[in-house]
Amino acid sequence: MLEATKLSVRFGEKVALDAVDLTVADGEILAVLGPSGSGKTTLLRVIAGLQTPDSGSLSWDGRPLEHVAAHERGFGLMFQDYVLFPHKTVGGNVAFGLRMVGMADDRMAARVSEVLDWVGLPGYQDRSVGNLSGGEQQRVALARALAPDPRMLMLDEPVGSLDRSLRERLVGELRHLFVERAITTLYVTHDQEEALGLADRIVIMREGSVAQEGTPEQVWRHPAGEWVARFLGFDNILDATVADGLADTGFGRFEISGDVVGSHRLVVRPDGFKVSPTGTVRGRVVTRRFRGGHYRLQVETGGGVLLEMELDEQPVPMVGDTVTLSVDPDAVVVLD
Amino acid sequence: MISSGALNRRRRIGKAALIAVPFTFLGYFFLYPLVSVLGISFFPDGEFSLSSFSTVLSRGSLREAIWFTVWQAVASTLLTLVVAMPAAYVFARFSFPGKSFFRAAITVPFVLPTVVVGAAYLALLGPNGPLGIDLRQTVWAILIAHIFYNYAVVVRTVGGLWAHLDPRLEEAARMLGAGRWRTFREVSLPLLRPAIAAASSIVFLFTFTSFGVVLILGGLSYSTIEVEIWRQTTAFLDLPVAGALAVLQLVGISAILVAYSRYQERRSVEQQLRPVVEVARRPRGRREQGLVWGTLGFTGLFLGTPLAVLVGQSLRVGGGYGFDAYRSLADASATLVPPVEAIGNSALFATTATAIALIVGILAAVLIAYYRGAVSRWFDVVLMLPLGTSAVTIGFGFLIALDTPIDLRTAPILVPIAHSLVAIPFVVRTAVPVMRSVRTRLREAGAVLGAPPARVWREIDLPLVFRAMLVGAGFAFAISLGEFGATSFIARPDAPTLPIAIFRLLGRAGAANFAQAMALSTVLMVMTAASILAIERFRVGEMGEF
Repeated sequence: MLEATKLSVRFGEKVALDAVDLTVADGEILAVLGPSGSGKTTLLRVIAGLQTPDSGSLSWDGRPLEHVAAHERGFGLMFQDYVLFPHKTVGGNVAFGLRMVGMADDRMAARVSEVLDWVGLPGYQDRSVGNLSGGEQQRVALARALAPDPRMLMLDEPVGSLDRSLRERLVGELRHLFVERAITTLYVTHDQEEALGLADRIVIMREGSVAQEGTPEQVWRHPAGEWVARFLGFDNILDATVADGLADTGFGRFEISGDVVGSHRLVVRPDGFKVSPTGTVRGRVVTRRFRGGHYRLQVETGGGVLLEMELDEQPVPMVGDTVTLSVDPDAVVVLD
Repeated sequence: MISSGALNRRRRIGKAALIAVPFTFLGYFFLYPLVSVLGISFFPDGEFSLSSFSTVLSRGSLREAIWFTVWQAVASTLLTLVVAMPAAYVFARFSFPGKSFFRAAITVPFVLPTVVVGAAYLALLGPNGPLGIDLRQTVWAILIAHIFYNYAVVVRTVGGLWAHLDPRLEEAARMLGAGRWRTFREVSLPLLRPAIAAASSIVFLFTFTSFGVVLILGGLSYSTIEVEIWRQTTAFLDLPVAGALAVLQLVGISAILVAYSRYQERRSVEQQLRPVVEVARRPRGRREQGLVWGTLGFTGLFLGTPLAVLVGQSLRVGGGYGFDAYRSLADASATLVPPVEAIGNSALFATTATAIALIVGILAAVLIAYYRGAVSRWFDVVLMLPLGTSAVTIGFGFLIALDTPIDLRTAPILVPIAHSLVAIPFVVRTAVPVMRSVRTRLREAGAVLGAPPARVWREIDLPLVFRAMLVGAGFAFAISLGEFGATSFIARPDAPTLPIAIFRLLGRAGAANFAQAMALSTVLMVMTAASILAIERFRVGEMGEF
């Protein structure tokens, strides 16, 4: 188990990490999620031993790591845009870590072909890395990091530079691989969908600090504060007065769960709206975009508030239509 | 309205004129002397004979010179690589206060005249040096001077590539369990191989054709082929043997150049290079601080000490210090002309050589940069030949060739012409990339706005290329100031250049002459450094990596 306590890193005036606490349990897949500049790559580099923290401590299974050099920590790291050795073949790249531990040639060859099988590149040993596609390079980088059987695998935006459809497929494959092999994983990304779909637990970072921590479901259902809500893509942030389980937003009243009262900020998830004749929120459709499984609509309510929503039940109203909407109490989160 | 036929004709005439000037110049002052060298070695008495070659190979002292030339060049190259590698790393990977000053400062030794370097090491490693050891006439003095001389080549060439290597490649190796040494050996070193090969071939070429340093520090004990060519010509008047040596040296140089270009074609590792700013950072932790400041300290001491001792010796008067040696430079009693006249001679020659090199070099650069096709590609290669030909061979060629059709051998203009031959490749190399980088679109925009081609060149290209020309001029000036090999054959006794005057003074006995030599060397060093520092101010980006 990895334990980090109060890690801080400063680059001149800029605070890159501010007293960050973090644990990764054995076999766990932890995603560190945050926008660029939030300190997530610095955190990864400190754990890898490539960056010395200004303060704080780091340990593995209770043993401190401060004086363990990067190459002795036994962690695997898959870099953003891969950083394959251009002077070595695919096999040479994958075997590199095995040679460092002095593995015998025949066992090494077997291991290389085994991990290349895992990542779906059987028989690629003798290829030059210069001629690989982006997806293939990504797989070689993964195989190279996995081959020495690291006690923890760290990945820095591993699918960030691939196109969307390939990215989605690979994230699924990665989770399958990590779970099946019980690989302890620290996964850094700026993409919420990636983090939600892959991780057992998510740590959201903002400006060098941890903004929220929890399972994907917890984070999704109860974003801690307006910044996290907006970062996760929730734009329906409303001021409301709550009494008797009813929220009054000025343009309509709807039920919420929980027992808060008084003035609050609320977020309504885009999937929480339904067209219903008995609804309490009225508005006019401003934009309407087809998104495959659903439609994404912007509805302008009284007072000029724009609501973002995803609707999938036919018939979906057209631009200019006036609609009456009901709100699912479970899709409403009280932010403060 | 000009008809298209007339336009074409005008363009063809323009191109012919463009070719004619540099072609005639190089043909008469470079190729013709070179052919004469071949002639005198293969046709010693007007008939074909290999006798001069068999003399070279059978005479013990000459065989020894050939063997010494090869092994000292190999040793100098390897030692320079090892000694300069830490500085290459530090300059590539770390940023520290005063970095650009340090970078400019380490280049100074490389551009110093060989005579100055020889004099400085004579002062440092001679009997009166501060170290108290006498390494004169030993191979060590020569090797150390060669390392001093070529330190910047390795730091700039290897460090230049290192600065662009993605540091995460090294981090990736560290994460896979490789220690620092192993990472260097298995990742950095193979990736740096192109730069190491380039630096090695440059250092090898320079030390293979080393003349001034060996002549001054090796005395009668050690001589390179270059020194032997000079000695056979000036002392023994055995021109066929000197010619044979020059031919053998040319063959050696060509072999190195061919091997290097073969290597360059073969290497195919594609690298993801990154901008330098992303790579260099401040040293962190005691270990890195120690490495950076330790390396810089060593570099400063290694490169600074000989020059400081040189200046110190020039100020030495009996037991104390003073400017007596400088004052005595105006005194003609011991020499044919007052040594101070050499300063004026050198300044005049350097100005003339710079003008010639600029005129010929810019015309050649225009031809290479703007006209595509076989002629300009072939010309590009021919222009680089003077770089691969040793200065001594050029001087020797002048001596034996330029008596026909008119005897130019004693004409004062010959000295700057020889200097400009060495400088032209530098001018071309700095100007061509900048000329090529002027985008066609810019020129088209000028043309659409009604500017004829010459006007476009003047209004668009010239302002952009002007800085490159200044850099080229600075190089040409510095090269001419320090040129010794060719000059030693053609300088008139009554019009010595600074290096010639210094060499003559070093050959005389007595403390006063030695101090004068040191004073004159200091003057030459300051003049050279000034023209190089002027270049550094105009240098844009990575232009001209010499």
